[in-house]
Amino acid sequence: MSESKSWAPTPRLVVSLIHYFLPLIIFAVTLYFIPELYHLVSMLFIAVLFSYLLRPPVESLEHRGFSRYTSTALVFVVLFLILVTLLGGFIPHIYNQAINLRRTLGELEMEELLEEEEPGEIEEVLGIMGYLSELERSLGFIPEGTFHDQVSYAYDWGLQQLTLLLLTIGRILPHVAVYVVVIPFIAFFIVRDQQAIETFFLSGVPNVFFEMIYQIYNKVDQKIGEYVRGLAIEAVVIALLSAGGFWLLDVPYAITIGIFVGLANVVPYVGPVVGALPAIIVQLIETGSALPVIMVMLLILLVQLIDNIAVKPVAFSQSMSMHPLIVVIVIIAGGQLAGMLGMVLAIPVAASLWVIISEFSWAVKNYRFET
Amino acid sequence: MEIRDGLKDVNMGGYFMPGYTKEGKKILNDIKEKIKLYWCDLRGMVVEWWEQIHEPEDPEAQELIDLLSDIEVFSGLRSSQYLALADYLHERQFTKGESIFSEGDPATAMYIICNGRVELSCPAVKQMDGSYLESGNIFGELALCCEHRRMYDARTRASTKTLVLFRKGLERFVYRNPSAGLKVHGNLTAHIGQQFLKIRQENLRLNQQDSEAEVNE
Repeated sequence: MSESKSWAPTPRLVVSLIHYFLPLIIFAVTLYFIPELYHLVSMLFIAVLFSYLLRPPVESLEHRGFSRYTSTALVFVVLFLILVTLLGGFIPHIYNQAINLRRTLGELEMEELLEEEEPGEIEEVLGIMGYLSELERSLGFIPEGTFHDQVSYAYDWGLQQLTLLLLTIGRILPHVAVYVVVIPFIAFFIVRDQQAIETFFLSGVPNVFFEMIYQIYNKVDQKIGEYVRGLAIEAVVIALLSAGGFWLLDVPYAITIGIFVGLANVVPYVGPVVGALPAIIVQLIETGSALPVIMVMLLILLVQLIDNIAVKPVAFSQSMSMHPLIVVIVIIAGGQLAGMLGMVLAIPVAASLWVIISEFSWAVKNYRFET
Repeated sequence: MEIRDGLKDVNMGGYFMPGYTKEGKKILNDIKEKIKLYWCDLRGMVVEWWEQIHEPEDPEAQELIDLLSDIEVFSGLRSSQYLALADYLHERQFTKGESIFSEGDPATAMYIICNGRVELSCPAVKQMDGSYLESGNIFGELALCCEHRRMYDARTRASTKTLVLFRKGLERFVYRNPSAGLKVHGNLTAHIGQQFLKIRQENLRLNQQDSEAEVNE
């Protein structure tokens, strides 16, 4: 005991820490100066998240006596078969729906309507207008046409945004094709060599921090795993409920919009609002009256209610308990830093940082860090 | 009684579906258990035969298997199971005089000494002074069983290479390799039980010494 001294960052320790974090720093700097690497990095991130989804079935097969390699291969074969079935059965249908949806939106520009049709006819097309004009007349103090202009403007804006979104989807489709091929390929090796990757990343940790870093790594790994799996369950349930509901309400392109709502739900708070927009706009174009639109809104609210009451508590038992305000700020920051992917990754990254900070502060109090 | 005799029609809201009686279910479960046992035996035989004709050619792997098989906690596993366990072991190199862990640190891992020398010391227990461990010895094994704090200091007395097995790592190994995991847990229980008995005997001896000293006074 006499030889031991309390912890202080000795030069050797500082050097070993720099040595450990140097590749990470070089990687971050490279990424900053070569933004073209964004796609590669995003593929890597998505593959890592995807591997979290595949680990439970692989481990379950391992538990039943298969080797890691065989288990991983079997899971990927099943996944491939599911993908082929989807591509063969559903995708053409969804693709046709998406193309038709885009065409419908392209044809129904509000300005064209204003130019070609008489104002009275537009009010017929959008049944709400007549009611709004009456309301204006009965109130008296509002100049005539205010509601009409405002609704037209909002409608126009919504259409523009949706067309923009669909155009963006069209632009990124080639990237998506590359992603669909490359991500499972990377994920296969991440799942198969998970233990070797873990050992490799931990091998550079200085001895004095080894047990502590391993604990932090495991907690972060567990949190991200729970979050990603919860998110996948939530997205599937929401997509099924929404598509089913839209189908019952006779909303056109029910499957496409249902899948979009499920995918949008991946981003907390912001996602449900963005997901609801296409359904509302499409229903408005299709029916031109208020009641079906209100029914769609009610359905979306009901799905959100089911999500919050039944799905979320089961899917995310205790994985990410963060204050809603922090969640919103983190999502906005993620969106500004790395776009769509940033918004999806914002929560797990922020929660991981939080775990690292809280575990590190706990460790500083509890470990003696003798060298 | 045959499985055919254990069948009955089950009423499912007006529709009758084939089902099993209680005896039928019992027979079915027995058959399932037998198939499971036969499958395990067959698999074990095939793996053993495969390992006999495919001895690991890598000398490092063989060295690792030799080291692990000599450790009481890991004895009785097959070569492939030792190699599977190796995936969960982290290699650590310590210089002479370096601290491995200190008394009071949260205990999360067990250490296996590959080569070198480690001294365990605890100011409260004088009997521990000068207890050195060498190649093939383990320490900190209680960390594999439960959450607690280290009860002694561990410091190297020569350049030392160790393998580290974390509690979480062992949990994963047990889940992914249940039969090997069961053996390791059995060995670990026996090892900790023996340690407990030794401590108990030592405690009794010391109590006896104290009472004899009191009588003499």
